[in-house]
Amino acid sequence: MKLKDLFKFAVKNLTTRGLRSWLTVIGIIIGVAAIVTIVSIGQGMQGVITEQLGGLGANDVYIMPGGGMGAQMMGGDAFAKKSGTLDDRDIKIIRSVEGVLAVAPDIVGMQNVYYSNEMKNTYIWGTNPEWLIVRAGSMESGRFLMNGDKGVAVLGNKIAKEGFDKEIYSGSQIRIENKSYRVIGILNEFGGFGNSAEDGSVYLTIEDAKEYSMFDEDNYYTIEIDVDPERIEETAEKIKQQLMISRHVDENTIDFGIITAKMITSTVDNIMGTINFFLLGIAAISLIVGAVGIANTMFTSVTERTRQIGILKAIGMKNHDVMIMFVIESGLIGLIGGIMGMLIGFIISGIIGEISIYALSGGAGGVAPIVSIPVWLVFFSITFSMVIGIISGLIPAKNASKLQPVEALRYE
Amino acid sequence: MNKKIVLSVIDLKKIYDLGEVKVNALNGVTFDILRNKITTIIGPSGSGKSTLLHLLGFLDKPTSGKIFLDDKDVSKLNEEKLADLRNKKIGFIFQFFNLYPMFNAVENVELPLSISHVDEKERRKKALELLKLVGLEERAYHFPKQLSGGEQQRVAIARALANNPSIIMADEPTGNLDTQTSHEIMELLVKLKEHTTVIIITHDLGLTKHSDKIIKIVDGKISEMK
Repeated sequence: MKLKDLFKFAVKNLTTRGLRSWLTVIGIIIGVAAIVTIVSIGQGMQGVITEQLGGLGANDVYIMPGGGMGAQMMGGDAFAKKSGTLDDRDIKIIRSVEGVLAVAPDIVGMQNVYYSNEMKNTYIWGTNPEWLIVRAGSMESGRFLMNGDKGVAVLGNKIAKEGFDKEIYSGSQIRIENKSYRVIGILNEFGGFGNSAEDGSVYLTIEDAKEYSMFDEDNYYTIEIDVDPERIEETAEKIKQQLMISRHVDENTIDFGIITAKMITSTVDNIMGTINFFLLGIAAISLIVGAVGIANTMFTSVTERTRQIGILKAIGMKNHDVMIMFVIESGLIGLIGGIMGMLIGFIISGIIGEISIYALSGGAGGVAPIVSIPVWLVFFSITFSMVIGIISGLIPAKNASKLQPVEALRYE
Repeated sequence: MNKKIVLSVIDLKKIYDLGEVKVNALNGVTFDILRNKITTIIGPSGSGKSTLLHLLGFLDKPTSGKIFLDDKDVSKLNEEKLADLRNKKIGFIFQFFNLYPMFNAVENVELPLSISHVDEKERRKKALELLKLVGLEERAYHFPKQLSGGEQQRVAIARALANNPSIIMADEPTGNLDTQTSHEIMELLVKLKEHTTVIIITHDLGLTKHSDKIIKIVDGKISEMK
């Protein structure tokens, strides 16, 4: 029989068993939709997180004291074997390393900030003018901190605009506890997840911020370093070696952590990879269940159609044509399930994307879409489900083709 | 070579091996089927006539003996070649019509043609001609379940004729029909003699009155031939 005729034949067989065919298709739809949704959300999440880390500066190196909270949070503590502190001597050493472009130490605290009879509890950062370079930030109005500043504050975009009922502008006066500060600049938005720390913080000089620090007066929370983009890892290694010498520690007694943006990114990639792998595993199980559904439907179909197969063979249909006809049927179930599953998966991930944008930005917008649909996924999901359909149908089809015409005709 | 003989059967045997027992369904039969004649094979149930039908229709292979179709030995052909013979040389008519339920009348008649790769336009034309021949052109687009038993059997006859077969093999063709319809179907089969050879297998002695040759089978052997 011509392939075109076999194809028409298969379509007719499927459509006359409408409900059963559709139920089988639904099994595949669920599996494919689950995979498509998980992959697009996974890809989107990875994209968003990578973008967030990009905001930290891809050329950045971070030094954290051993045992410190910051180091623990960022994973750098894994590198420090003992607890320690960071101070101005370390800054000096770091500045002397070739390839270092800017160094910004910071301290951090949490305090009540007052503005026109309103109070808000937020982060107070103390840092130096180089912070803006390290973080690749920019000013929306006014200027950033300068050496020699005293009693002045720079505000993150969100706290200035949305933190209080009345917007804060450059030139406004704010109060932290009982001290008054003049606002000299507002930063552009760093963006990212909701009220990201940068956009909701107040920035002071280190001298001014010391009294609010959560840590000892002379110790830094982190040292952020901008290095030559051509040799990030190499420079990071040099900084590490120099600091180890000056602090009289070796690999076993090291009391600080050093990490690069690349290390964070690869950690995130690892975590996301594990999560995606796990979720994909679950989705794959549902697709396998769908495949078993196809095989089951096809086996039942062969039994139910034994007599029909007998008729076809009696009028001369060849074994391999019978087999191809059944394989086309199961392949079509897979293909249709794949296409519909893909579309439904896209719709679901689109909805999740919209919800997540709303949830993360609090309705304010400005958050990158958390869902991304790669082109390969479109082709993969369709091809894969069709192949699954064909494979599930192979054994039933083989059984059908092997039926003896005499036996098949006798079958009631 | 005798041009009058379309099918020759020599010492045909079929033994079913059921494990512990062997059943001699057909115990050495020899006869010729003449071209453009109606041959009726009769016998009580269990006589081996169905086995004979399966062997003559190439649905099954004999245990021993030879079958010559148009002077060619076809008893040792493989499954693929047998399928070809069934498609091109044999037209089946069954007691229960055995139309393909998903296809309408004309599509059923087209089936043997699409199996033998006849292209779409040509096979539709041929199928409609055949439906006209059996008097069913007006019901061409009806599905089997919308047709009466007699109509279904006419479609089956049209389908059997599709590839201009050498032999029409009719297995109890009127077994499931009322007297009037049986009569019409038999008339139609008699008419087919002009085009092809007809073998009717039945236990109904009434069908023998149209026959040119009658072969009676009892216990796997020919008991009478006239």
